[in-house]
Amino acid sequence: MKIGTWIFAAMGISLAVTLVLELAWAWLWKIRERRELLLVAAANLLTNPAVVACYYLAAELVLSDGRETEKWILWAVKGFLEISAAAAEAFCYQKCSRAIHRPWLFSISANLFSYWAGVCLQNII
Amino acid sequence: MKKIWKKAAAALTLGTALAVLALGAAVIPGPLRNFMNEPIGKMVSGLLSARADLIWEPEDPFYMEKSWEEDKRDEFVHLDRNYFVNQEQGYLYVVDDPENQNITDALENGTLVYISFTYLDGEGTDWGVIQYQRTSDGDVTPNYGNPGEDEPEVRTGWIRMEDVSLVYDSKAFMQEYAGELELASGQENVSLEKGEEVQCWTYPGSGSISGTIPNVDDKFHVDYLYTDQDGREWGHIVYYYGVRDVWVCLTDPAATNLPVHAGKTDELLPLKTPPEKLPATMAEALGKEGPASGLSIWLTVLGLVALSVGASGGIIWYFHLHKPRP
Repeated sequence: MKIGTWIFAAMGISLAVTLVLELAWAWLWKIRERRELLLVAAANLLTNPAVVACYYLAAELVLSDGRETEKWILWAVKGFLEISAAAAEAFCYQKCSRAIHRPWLFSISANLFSYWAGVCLQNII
Repeated sequence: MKKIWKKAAAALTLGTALAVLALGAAVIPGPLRNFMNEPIGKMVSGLLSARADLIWEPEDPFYMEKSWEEDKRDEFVHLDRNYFVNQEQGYLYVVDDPENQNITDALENGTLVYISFTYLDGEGTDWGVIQYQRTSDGDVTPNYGNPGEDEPEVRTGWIRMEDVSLVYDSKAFMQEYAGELELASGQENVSLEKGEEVQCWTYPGSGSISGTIPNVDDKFHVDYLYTDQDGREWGHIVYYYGVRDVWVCLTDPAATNLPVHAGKTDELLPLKTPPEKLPATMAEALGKEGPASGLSIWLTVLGLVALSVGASGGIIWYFHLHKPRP
């Protein structure tokens, strides 16, 4: 995979979709104070661009030969990045939020929801 | 406590449902493919893709890998048109594929090429795939065979669409004269004397006969009609026994010397002889540093990530310092 200016659009779309989905999830969890929603948005702004950039960097390094057999490495990288992002967000909620009583459960469920909803959207589009 | 478990159960249920939907979208094509391998499936596939038999595909490694191995056929646009090389510098460079862009050849202005498919790369450059061969005296001609051991001189490559000009064809004619075309009634036909054949022209007034039809039957059908400036009526054939996208003069179908009113085409720019030592890559040819171009993008990405981490980190730190006490 060769890097190009398309990565900026990819990062922008990923961040926008993630913010919408995670804020919607927070709303479903009855987290509706402006401060708390801003914290959720900030936590995702902290992790999402870094995760996307790291993923595409790994893709460029791993898939330089374009071989199918190396794609499992990318899956492992993606898993590691998603887990790290969820952990970082949970840590932020634990330290900074008063309304999110189960920060780890919220973070894991929000990340699962935004990941799979994103996959569905991609398949539909 | 109960509320938390209810939320967890709801999250698990929704997550599972979404996972099933996503997997379903990936799995369904499998059974569909199995159906298509059954005799009835093949018949259905054949009816749906009658036109697929007419689409020639180049034996280009990049095209074949993307289309067949990676199943990314939709990244290519089927073009099926002829162009001539027309670059300001007098020649264009042919590369191995749009991603690596290693230069493999150079073609002078005026060289005729057939472009079957185009591909838009990550930078927004439109590339066309060509298959050609060089004759013993160095001339370049389009080729539709199979590059390999039998035809070692047949090559494939990719060229930038901005380096070529369209050879005026039926599609260009129909776009230019769209307002003067009429839908055919379906009753049009031609009558031939013994020994006569219907002449197939690339477009009305082209002066170029692309083939002939020895005799016509009740399957002869034109979709559009055009009356030229001399009063002759022409009919467009989409497909008829292997003949496709041609025009026949309904008024005088067997005539071979009809007046020429050639379509507008770009002026051919002066040709120059390419250098003997070709540049290694398109980036080098264009005066750009290839690796630095990728490096500059990564540096920009790093800067954006640093900015987002810094901004969000600042907000989170502020929230931490001002966390409301219970």
